Amino acid sequence: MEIATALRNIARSTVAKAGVLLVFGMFLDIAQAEPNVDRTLSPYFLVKPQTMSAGAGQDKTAVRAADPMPLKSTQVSAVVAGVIANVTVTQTYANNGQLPLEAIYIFPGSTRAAVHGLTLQVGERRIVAEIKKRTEARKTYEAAKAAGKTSSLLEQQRPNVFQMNVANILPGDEVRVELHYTELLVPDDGVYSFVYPGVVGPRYSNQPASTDDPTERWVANPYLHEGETDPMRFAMDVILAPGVAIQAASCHTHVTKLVYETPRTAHLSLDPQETNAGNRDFVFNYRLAGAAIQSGIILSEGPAENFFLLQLQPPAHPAAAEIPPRDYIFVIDISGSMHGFPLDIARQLMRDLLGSLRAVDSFNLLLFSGSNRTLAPSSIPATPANIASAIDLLAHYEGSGSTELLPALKEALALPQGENTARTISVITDGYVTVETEAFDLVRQNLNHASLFAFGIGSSVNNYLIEGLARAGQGEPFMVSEAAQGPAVAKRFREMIATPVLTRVGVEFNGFETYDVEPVTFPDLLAQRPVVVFGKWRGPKAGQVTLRGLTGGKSYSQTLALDQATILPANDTLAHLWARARIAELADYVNLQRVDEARVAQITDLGLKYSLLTKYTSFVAVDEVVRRTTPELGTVKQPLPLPAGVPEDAVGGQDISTAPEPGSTALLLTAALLGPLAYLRRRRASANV
Amino acid sequence: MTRLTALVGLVVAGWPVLRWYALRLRDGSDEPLGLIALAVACFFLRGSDWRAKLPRRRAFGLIGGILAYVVVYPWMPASARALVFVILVGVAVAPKISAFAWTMLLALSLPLVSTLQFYFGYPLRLPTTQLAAMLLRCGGIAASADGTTLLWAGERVIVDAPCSGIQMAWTGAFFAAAIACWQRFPLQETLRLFRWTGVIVFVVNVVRAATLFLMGSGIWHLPAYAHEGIGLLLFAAAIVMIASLAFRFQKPCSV
Repeated sequence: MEIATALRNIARSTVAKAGVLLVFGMFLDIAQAEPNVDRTLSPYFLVKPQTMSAGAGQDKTAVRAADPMPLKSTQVSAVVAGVIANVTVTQTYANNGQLPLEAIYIFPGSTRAAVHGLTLQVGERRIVAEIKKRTEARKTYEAAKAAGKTSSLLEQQRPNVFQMNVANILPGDEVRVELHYTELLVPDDGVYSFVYPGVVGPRYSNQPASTDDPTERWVANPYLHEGETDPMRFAMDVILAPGVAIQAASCHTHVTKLVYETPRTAHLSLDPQETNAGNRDFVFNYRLAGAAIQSGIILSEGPAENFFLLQLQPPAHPAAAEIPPRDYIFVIDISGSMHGFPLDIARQLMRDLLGSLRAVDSFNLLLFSGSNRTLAPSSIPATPANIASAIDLLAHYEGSGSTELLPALKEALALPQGENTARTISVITDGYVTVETEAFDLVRQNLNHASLFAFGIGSSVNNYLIEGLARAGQGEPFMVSEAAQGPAVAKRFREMIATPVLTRVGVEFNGFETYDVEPVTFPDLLAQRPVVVFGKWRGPKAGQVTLRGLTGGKSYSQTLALDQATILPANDTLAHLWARARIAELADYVNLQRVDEARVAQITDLGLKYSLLTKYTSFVAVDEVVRRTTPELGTVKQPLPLPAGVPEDAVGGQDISTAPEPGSTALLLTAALLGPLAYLRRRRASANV
Repeated sequence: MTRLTALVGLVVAGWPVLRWYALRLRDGSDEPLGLIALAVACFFLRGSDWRAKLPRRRAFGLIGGILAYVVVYPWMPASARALVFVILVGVAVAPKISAFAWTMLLALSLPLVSTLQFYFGYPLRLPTTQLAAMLLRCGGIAASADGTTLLWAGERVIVDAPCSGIQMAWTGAFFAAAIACWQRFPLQETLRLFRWTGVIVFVVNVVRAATLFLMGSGIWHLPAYAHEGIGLLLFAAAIVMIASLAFRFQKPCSV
């Protein structure tokens, strides 16, 4: 009873009541903080009706009346002249809802694309975008958005991932945004490929959303469910005019209509039956008659600077030499996004790769998702029994979990290595991660005497990661989109390791004054593809260029005279390609964790000077007419289709809502606080009776 | 045999159970909340006459219980052994009037929440989901239940393991046992209180699941902390109901 009396006195005091409320509030605060700790920047499935943030003063009805998929179509028009593709991508946005919109669209690009222009068309008005520093462009866009002006902003999130923002698309509007890029097509074994990436695959990120870098927020994007058709219409139109006769041309990724207008010109377009064409990369391969265009020099003259592009075809693969035993480490992604078809391809590829090893070679397997597992503590001989157990091990995994690439690479690079063996590391993944630059750095700093080859698996691979890993690892990238390609890829892999095409590569200019040449040094040439050199020149168009190196242990040289050069009509094409190559070289060494300010400044200057989209420069276009006068503006992230063959596991269920109970401490405190209060109330009521 | 002798004997004989208890408390699979129930049980033993002779009925019960315990020991899982041990301790030392409620407190002190979650989680979640869907339909929202998932207009809210209500049931039972000990409820009243506690907590959990569905599906736009806040408010309502019921029950017996 004494306790009860004391409790009653305490409870009556206002201070104590305030304390109770404070404690309750603290629990609420803890509860509020908890979800953010666990939440990561991850892709999620579209939940209809729409994932959008409501502006101030908006009610639920208004939000639901917004158009959930404002991007209605993407039209790609490419003209391939010689070895250069000029591409125009037209995105048409429309608002069929009742609420003014800001649309955000994440889309992929070629890793070699030099994006040099953007135009915005609103009704009859056509606005040419300006290139600005990224932060300035963002400020201009946000100001225009707030002022009610229709505007667009194009930002680079990765060298192969872009983000388009279009603000103030009014109900009933149709807004068109055109972006222009140029790309150099480099043949591989005589085959040219024009690749237009279709969709950005869902990226795994373990970064907490609460402390994320704003430039990484694009990763949290909605996706359509597996098998759901993307309502966005995708059209493709390619005019192939290489200047010499076309020997063969085909597209295996889409149903297309190919018309040869002359022996030197072909026109390719998508077949109308392609209704879900934007969920995979578009790949158009062609081969030219003879090899004339595979070696050559192209010059362009400008008012301030002159540029050249040199392509020198290397010799054929030399005969297989006696090569010492090698140690192969295969790092294989078995995460959720590899479930099903991609892992089937990886298994077939592994059977072919392991089958091509010699008995004197050794190997090991490192399988990774959220954690790693190796076949053996150190490499084991490539005996039929060991190969069979490796294939058995891989067969046990169906693909699930996250994609922790960096710990896997660290473990692979740290695996014990024999003193007299040369090591080759092969990474097999779809590349759906966000840690590309960290991975490049890791490989560059820890590779020692090994080489690294990267195999991109699937219908919409992250080429930036695959090509960057191979470049950092002095190896080669491979893309494998179907199991049937396995034997050919394994053969090429084997050939590259056994017989590099050209080593100790060097290019000499005699009598032709060049500067700002890219690349500065040349890695060993493993594949049958031209050595490509960009640069600036001055003085007379005279002299010669010589490619030197060793092939099959013998010296090799090839010389081109400048009087054989092709002169381009005055335009900025070569300037854009040169600047793009220089930016790629600089960007490879700019890490998220250790930003090199000098390199960032160089990239920014190049972007501004040559009007190129980079990580630090963006295009912004503003229609100066104020079109929105009401305060409501909804923001819609355009949902993306899952890449063909990629399962729902790639997105995961992080954002599915649940209804968890309150924490046990909060429950106990609630009971401890309310029990005595209820008792006191009861006693008071009894006393009053 | 005094109560103290009986307790010492049980503690010595039951060392494997105590060792298991210590290990389970440290292995992190359960929150150490059972210690609070243990402390509250000890609190209600204040003033017990430890030198008093164990009543004949309890002594026979204890001997019979120990014999049964010894016979079935090899076949029992550790958690079942602990439960039997707790009952034996209850027989030996529980207060005379509220013996059942006191033994319940001791049982709640066992680290069994994750075990309960494993065995009873899904059987609780399934009817919770079905009833929450019915409740939502009564409110004019055409929700349906698919297993333990609530569906409406393409939205999904999962009533997963942390939503089963086991934690609320444990806290509710602990609260009811504490009140029953405090008010010295006899067996019948204690059983009645536990029965009502179970019903109240289950119904509150159904209401909670339905309410949180409104948030999770975007029908209600509330800040994230409202999630926990709604759960706590509903649980507070459950506690008030349990307390009110307890005080309305038959006037507690005097010693």
